[in-house]
Amino acid sequence: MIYATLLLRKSLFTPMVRYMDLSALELNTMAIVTKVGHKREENRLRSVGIRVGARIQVLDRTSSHGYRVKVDDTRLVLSHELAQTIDCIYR
Amino acid sequence: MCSSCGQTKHSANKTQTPVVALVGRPNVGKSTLFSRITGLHRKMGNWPATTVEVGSADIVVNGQEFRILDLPGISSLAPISPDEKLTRDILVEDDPDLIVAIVDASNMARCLYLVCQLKELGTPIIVALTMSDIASGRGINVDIDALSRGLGVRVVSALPRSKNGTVELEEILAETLTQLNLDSTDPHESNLPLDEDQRINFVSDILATSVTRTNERSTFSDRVDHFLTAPILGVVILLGVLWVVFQSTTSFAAPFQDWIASFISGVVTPPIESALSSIPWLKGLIVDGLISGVGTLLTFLPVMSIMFLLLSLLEDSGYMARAAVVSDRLMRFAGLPGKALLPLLVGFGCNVPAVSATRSLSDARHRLIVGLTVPFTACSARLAVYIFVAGIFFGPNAGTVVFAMYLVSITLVILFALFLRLTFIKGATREPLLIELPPYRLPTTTFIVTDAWLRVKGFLREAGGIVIITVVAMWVLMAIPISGNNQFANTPVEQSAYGAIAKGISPIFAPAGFADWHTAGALATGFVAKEVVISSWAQNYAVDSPNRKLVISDLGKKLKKDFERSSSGNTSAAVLAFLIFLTAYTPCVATVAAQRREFGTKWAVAGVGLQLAIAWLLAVAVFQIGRLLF
Repeated sequence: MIYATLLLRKSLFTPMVRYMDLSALELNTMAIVTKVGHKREENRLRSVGIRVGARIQVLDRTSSHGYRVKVDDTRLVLSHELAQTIDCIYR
Repeated sequence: MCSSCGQTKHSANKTQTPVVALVGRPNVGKSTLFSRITGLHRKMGNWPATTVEVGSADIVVNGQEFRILDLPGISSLAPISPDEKLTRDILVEDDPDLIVAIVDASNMARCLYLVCQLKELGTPIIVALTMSDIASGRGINVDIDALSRGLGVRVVSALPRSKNGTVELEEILAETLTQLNLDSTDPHESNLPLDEDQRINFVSDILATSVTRTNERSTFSDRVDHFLTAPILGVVILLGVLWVVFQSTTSFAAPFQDWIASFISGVVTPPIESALSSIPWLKGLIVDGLISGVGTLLTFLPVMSIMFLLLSLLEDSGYMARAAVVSDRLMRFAGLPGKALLPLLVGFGCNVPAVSATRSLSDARHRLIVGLTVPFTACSARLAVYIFVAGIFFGPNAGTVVFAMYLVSITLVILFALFLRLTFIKGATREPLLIELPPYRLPTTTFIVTDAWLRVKGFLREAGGIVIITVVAMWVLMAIPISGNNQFANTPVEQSAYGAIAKGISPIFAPAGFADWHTAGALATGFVAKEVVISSWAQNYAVDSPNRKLVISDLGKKLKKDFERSSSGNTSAAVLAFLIFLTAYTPCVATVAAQRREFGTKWAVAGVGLQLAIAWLLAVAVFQIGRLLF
């Protein structure tokens, strides 16, 4: 009983950690990039700062038109295809 | 080995002028800084043995003379396009005496990564910190002293958009170069190269100690981008912006064109005519050949200058990147990346620099597709002919007709690119959309004016001579009598060699409704340069007057009569067919020369063949269908 209460308290007060790809990230939520999966475009993505550990935030999303994102201080637009290959984590 | 002069690596104590290289990521304010420092003293030219343009200028600051280079933007020393490759090669092989690394204060992480790589080269570096005003607007504050200590190099704040914003930087450059000249030891330290993770950690440590942030808030750029990059609204805004550009060009250029034409025919020509009246053939060569050729060139400068000014304004404001995002879907339909928009937009000013602008694309096949498609963009020389013809035949609807020609041009561009991708140039990779959005900023007059001036100067240098030679050659052909008892330089145009050639080719245009030799001849000379189409007509119809309005009125009447006759009364259909042909066929010899330089003779010749075939087929289709509808 005491153990169950402690577990319940921990789940209520410990921030949840969520893992997802960029296409599913809620708007204006700051996340950290954990993986960049598009091998062919890896160099291009790195050149604009999308690398493991970068802070990333989706500002606007239109899956047919692209995602407007903020990576550190850089604003850029990338496709739905690329967004699906970028894994990130946020609390 | 130096790629520019073939000598072995230069040392810091060489006697020739020291070289300072401006290096930075795209959109950090490098060219604006270069413009502010060099003013109108800069020149653009191809780097030896390449087709990439590099800005350079020789300047003197506090008695220290040096050459400053504006290198193409580079994201890192691992290049992904020909422009970036050249920058890397110049830095690594040519070894400039001093590097000025431009760092955008509002986007430091990306820029400092490049600075880290530049430090590894061992060349002395000064960091110029730009866009501090934008950074502070975003709540980003940079401690310059801490940044300088962290990087181990001198850091100077530079505001190229303000009048005296680069004075401190220029003085420090001069001081540093003087110091390098005096210092007899080799200034090139050898630093051990770092791997990527070490660089990233190094940059993170520096940012932590030198950058503080107040509350992060949505910026002006973010709020505006919500609308400007929206799927439907963004496209509407883009079309509106383009309409304003083209409308402004036509409206503002007309009075200047009239003034130039009146000045040449009313002030320059009469004294020369009277001085040479005793030598008719020389008078004809000078007045109808040379002066006419130069005059033709000058009357097109207002259109071109205003177009380039407006394109520079859009580029400097930061809007072009948004335009590339919005047009990405349309470009992608043709198998091209959104970045292909910029060379095509430049093509609406002049096709010659547009072909060169394809170098910014990383994929060679994309460069080739866009380079072969550029001739279908309606350049400002074509615009002048559209305005002239539409004004004569469509009166109050002239503006609508001209705008329709631009829509036709855009459609041709998309379809031709698609055609090339599916047939001759297969295998072009589909790059996913990835475009950086620079912050919006107020364009600076200095940069816009000097940038437009350089483009116009480039056009005059590359195409000016060809235009003048064409007009002179046309005069010579018109002077050679073929039939009748006429003398050289005293023969009706119809009985000259030019007239014979024009009559020989005019039947080709019979199915398109404009098989009149005057028009066929004008189109033939237009193949060499579109700027001479109208003056060719004037010469073919022997229309001449000091008053340009009278020339247009007289010429207009004769054109109407001949179009009516050659189209059997279907004038509107024939005129539209003519305009379509004008849009689709080869823009000028200078463009073909630029294509040959970039892609080789085979592709340049193939391009000309395809343009002529498509132009003729479309013109015939438009006339044959149009005469049933109108």
